[in-house]
Amino acid sequence: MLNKAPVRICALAFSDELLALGIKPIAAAARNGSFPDYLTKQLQEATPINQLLEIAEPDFESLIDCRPDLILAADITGQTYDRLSMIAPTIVMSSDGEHNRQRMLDLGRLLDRYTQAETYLKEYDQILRQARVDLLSKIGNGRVAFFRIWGKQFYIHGHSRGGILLYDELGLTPPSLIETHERGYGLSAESILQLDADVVFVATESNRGAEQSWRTLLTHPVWQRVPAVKSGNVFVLSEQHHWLRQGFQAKQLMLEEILSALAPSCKSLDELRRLRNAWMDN
Amino acid sequence: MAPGKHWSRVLLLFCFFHLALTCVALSVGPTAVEFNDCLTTFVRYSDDNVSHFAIWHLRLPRALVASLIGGSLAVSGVIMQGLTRNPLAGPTMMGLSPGASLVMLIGLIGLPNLSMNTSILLSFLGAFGGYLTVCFVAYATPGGFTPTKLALAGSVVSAVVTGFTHVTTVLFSLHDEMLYWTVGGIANVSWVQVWQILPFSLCGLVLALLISTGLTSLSIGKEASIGIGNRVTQIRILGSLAVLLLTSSVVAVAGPVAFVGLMIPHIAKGLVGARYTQLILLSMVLGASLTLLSDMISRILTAGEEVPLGLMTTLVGAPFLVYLVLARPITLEARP
Repeated sequence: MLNKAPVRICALAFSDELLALGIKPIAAAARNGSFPDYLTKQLQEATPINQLLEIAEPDFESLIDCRPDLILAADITGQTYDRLSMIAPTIVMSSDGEHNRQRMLDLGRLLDRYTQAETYLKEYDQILRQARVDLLSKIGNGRVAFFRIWGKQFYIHGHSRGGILLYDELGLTPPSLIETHERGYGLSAESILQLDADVVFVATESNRGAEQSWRTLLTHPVWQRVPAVKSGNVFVLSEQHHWLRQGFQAKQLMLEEILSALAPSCKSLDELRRLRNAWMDN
Repeated sequence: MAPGKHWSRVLLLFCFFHLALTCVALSVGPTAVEFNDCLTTFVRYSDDNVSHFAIWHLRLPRALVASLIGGSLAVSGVIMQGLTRNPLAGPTMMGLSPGASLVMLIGLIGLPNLSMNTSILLSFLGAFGGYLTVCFVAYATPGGFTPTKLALAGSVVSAVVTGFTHVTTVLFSLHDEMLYWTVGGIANVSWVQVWQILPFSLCGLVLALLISTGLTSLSIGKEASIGIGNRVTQIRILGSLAVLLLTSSVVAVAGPVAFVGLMIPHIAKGLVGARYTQLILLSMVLGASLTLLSDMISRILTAGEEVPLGLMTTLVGAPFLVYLVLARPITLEARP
C-alpha cells in the first residue's frame, strides 16, 4: 500500500489510462524523445523517458532527475524492478489487451479515482454497444482487416493490437486468414491474393522504409485484386499508435476512425464525439 | 573424370536442373496450382484465373529475380576471387555490400522519395567506394599486395563501413529504415524488379565473359599473365566494372544476400576446373539454382509466412564456409 497519495507519477506504461483518469504524469515513456503520437499534446509538460529499443529498460538517470514518488511499469525484468524500486515505489502491471478494463479499475483504486474509472468504462461500453449495432447494420458480415506495414513486412492483425477492438469488442468479421492464425499473419505478395477483406485499414510506420514498401505495394498488381481495393474501401490511417495500444483514449480514437469510415452518419459517432469532448474538458 | 574435360555436359545438366527447379517454383505456394495451369498460363493466359495470375505476376518474376540475383552474385564472386587470387573474396568481404548499404542509407536521409533507379545508382556508387577503399588499403600497405593483406583490408574496411552505418542509424533514428534495407528479401517483387536487374546482370555477364581468358591467366599469377601478353591493369579495371554492375542492382533490390558469391565459385571450380569461361557460365547457373532453391524453401518453410532470402542463403552458406576452412586448406599467401 502507498503511504500517501502520489503526486509525481512516472508512467513507464499506462500514460493513456492515467490521462483518461485526469492524472498528468510528470514523466512518461518515450521512444527517441517522442511520446505516442495521439498523446503528444496531453503530455507536452511531461519529461520523456527513453526506453532502450522499447524493451522496457528505461533511461535511469533521466528518471532520477524527475524525482518521482510513484513509478508505473509493465513487463519488466526483476533486475529492472529492483533498480526502479530504489528510485521510488514501483508498481508493475500486465499490459495485455484482454485485461484493460480491470487495469483501469485497479489504477482508479490505487490513485483514488475509482468512481471516475467506473463511470468512464460505463460510458465507453454504452458507446461500444451502440457502435456495434450501427456497424453491423452497415457492413453485416463483411470482412475487415487491420493491415500494417513496417520494413518490408506486410502484416494483418488478428486478435491482437487494434484487432481486439475490431473483432472482440465490435464483433466485426476478420479476414479468413485469421481463422488459422489467431493473433495475426505476415503476408507475402502471394498471400495477399488470399486476403478476402472487404474493408482494409492501413497503418504504415512513419519511416521511409515502410513508406517505400507502401508505394511498391500500391503499384503491385496483386493489390488491385483485394476486394477492398476494388470497391474503394481502403482507409489509410494518418497516425497509427492508437491502433497499437490498449488504452481507452486509443480505443476511442480508433472507434471514431472506424465509424467515420464505415458509418459516417450514425448516431453513435455523434455521441462518441460529444463524450470525447466532455472527457477532454474534464 | 578430370574436372573440365566434359564441362559442356556438366553445364547442360545444371541448365536442365535449373529449368526443372523453375517448374517446381512455379507450382509451389499458397495458391493452388495444377501442372496444367503452368502450361496454359503461357499459351492461354486469363486474368480471371487466380492460378494464372499467381504464376505470371507473382511466381515467374520472383523466380527470375531469384535466379538473376544468384547468377549475378556467383559470377561476381568468381571474378573477385580470380582478380585477387583470394578464395575468400566475395561482395561482403570486398566492401561492396557494406558500401552500398551505407550510401543507400545516406541517400534515404537526403532523398525521402528515393526512386528505384536512384537507389541502384547510389548502390553502385557505394559499392564502388567500398571496393576502391579495400583495394587502396591492400595496395598501400608496406611490402606490396598479397591476398592475405587483401583479406585483412576487406575485413577491416567492411567493419569500419558497417560501423559508420550503425552510427548513422543511431544518430538519425533509422532502425526501421535499416530493417528495410538489410533484410535481404524478394517477397514482394514483380516484373518491375526483373527489368531493373536484367540489363545490369547481362552487361556484367558479357563483360565477365570478354575478360575470362585474361582472368584464367591472371589467376595463375601476375607474372605469368604478363608473360603471355595480357594487359593486367585493363583486365582488373574491366573485371571491377563487371563486379560493380553485377552487385549493385542486386543489393538495391534485395539487400545483402550473403554467401552465394563466396560459395558457388568453389563448387563450380570442383566441377569444371579453373578455366574462367567455363567457370563463369557454370557459376551463373549454379548461383541461380542455389538462390532459387533457397527462396523456394523460404516460401514453404513456415506455412504461408516467409523467411527472408538473405537469411536462407546464410543458413546454407555459413556451414559451407566452415567446411571450406576445415576440409580444404586455403592458402592466402601470394604464389611465387
